[in-house]
Amino acid sequence: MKSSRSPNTQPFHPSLEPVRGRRRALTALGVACLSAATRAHGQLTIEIVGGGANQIPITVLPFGDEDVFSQHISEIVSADLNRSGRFKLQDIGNVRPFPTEPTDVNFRYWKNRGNQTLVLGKVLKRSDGRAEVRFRMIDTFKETQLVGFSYTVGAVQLRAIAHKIADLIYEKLTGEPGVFSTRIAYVAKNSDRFELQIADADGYNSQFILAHREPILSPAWSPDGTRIAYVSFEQRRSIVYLHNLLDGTRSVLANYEGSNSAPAWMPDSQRLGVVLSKDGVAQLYVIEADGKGLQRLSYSNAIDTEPSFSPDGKWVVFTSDRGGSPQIYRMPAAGGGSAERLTFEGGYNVTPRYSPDGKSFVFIQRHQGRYSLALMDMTARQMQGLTDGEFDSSPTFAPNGRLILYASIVKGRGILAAVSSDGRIKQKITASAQDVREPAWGPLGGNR
Amino acid sequence: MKKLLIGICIALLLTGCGSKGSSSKAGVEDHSLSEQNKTDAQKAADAQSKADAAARQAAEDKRKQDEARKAADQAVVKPLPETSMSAKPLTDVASMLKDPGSPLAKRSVYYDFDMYSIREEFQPSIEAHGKFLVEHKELRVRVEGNCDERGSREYNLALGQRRADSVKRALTLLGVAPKQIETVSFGSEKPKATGSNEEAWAENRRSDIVYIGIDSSQ
Repeated sequence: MKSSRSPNTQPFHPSLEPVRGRRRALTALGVACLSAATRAHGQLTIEIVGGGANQIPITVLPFGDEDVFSQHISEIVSADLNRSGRFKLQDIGNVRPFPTEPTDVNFRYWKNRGNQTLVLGKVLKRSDGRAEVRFRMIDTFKETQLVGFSYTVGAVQLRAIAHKIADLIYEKLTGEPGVFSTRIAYVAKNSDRFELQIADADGYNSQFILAHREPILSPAWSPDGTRIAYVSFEQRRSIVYLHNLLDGTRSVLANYEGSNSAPAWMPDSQRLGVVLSKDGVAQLYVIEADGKGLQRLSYSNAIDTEPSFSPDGKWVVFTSDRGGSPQIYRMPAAGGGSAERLTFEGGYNVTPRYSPDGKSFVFIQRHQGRYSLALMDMTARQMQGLTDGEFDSSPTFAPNGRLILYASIVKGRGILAAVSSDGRIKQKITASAQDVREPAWGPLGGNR
Repeated sequence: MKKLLIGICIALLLTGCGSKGSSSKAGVEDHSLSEQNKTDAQKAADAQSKADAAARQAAEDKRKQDEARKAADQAVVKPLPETSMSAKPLTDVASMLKDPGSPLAKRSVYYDFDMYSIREEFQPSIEAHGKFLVEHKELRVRVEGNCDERGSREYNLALGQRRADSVKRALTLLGVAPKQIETVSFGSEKPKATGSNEEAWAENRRSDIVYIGIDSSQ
């Protein structure tokens, strides 16, 4: 499956180092998912609320003949870059037709207008119906090519290719991986129907992988992107399931007496933390992905829940009310050792989530009756408020650590929102005619 | 399944009647053999009375068979006798539970925010349910813990479990067998009151005692 359905990609700049590994995995997961899932109703719409400082100026020109296909590459790339908040999209000038190859570019014209970074390209429809997308990014001041690729794909993969191009531009100009090709999971509620949905990071191509009349919560992607763990009430009580995205099958991960909840993957994609109340009050346990080898991790007489493992697998942060109010603690992921309390401000600090670099964690704090996002630096132990919502919940980091997706309630309706980890950029994401909550941002690449 | 059992009963009943009939015929023959030395007239009179007796016997057998068939038919018409037997006490229990004047009519315990301890005012209601469950060991309840919508869904799920478990503990301390009580937490997932205000939140911070088979089918 990997080789036959992957887009045919080839660098056409000999000195250029292609992004290995992630390139081939690009659409394999998407294709697998389409076969195992059903299209969901209601597309997500993303609206940018704030803007970041120090935005990088960039000019994305329309690609030659891109309107032969319904998905217009340059528009998708522009929307991706704009949504990240890290770019300032510049005016596209008066040169017609637009240059589509470096040989067409009048460097002096763009230099004089101050358009230093230029993205251009074209789409060629091949006789077999497939599309060849050629794109380059050019520095008009230095008159050099920054990056260039050609992709030959089926028409259905054009959106995916546009996201891939946006990822390359993002990585080249910021030095960090882009997350435009990643996907998100979330729970949508339509009247009395709950759906576990998966969509592209820009909200397109939403599909549901589970739908019924009982609540669904806490979806969690495996770090390798092949499985999603979640809690479902379909048996009228909380049970943890594992859904395999490659073949659409699912299995019961934890079904013990009492509550089974809060699945959290360990970095090896082989084991998960879960929270069970079978021995009394909710406690942390570790279980293998096949449901075997259950081991108790925490031993307290209080609620211990919402585990999140550090990327190096050494630590687990979690919520506990052992001190009389829910606060965030940290303990060794191997068990043993004492738990260290990390939050001291306020009487309600919950839902800690490690950042991808493990240097900080995001959590929900209650402040003057409002529930909002805050970030804690692990070394300095400094806390920074990120949002000012009234009912913010369920924060989840983008895999590059730049954005945090979370759930909020606006005018009685559940929406998703995103904030940059410096708090400067804000996005609001709404779905047509439905309540959305419980977001989980998927990993980079995936399906390796 | 029950229909099948009734069918088998009818079949057994009919077979039983049949074998009884054949053994009574054999009895008539034996009798005639033992009285060979009687006069012809006596024999004729005996034969006549025997024939009458046999006819009576046959009529009696037929009546019994008809009765048995009728009884079997009635068993089919009046199915599941055990339901009608247990229906009466259950109706009594249900009416006791639903009597608005009884402390049993109160099935909910309410909590303060982020709390799971049972407030003093709910103690009489808990004691009434405890006493009732001790007296009716055949009854089972499910305690359902709920939370208001604020804060973390996962923390609320754990808190709702604690609320339900605290009611279970209070009931078992009153002598109720643990196997009579199951607990479940819905966290903040199944709010009874909608709306984002203190009134709705107070209503949703709640444990419900649900009598299985009376308040719910399962």
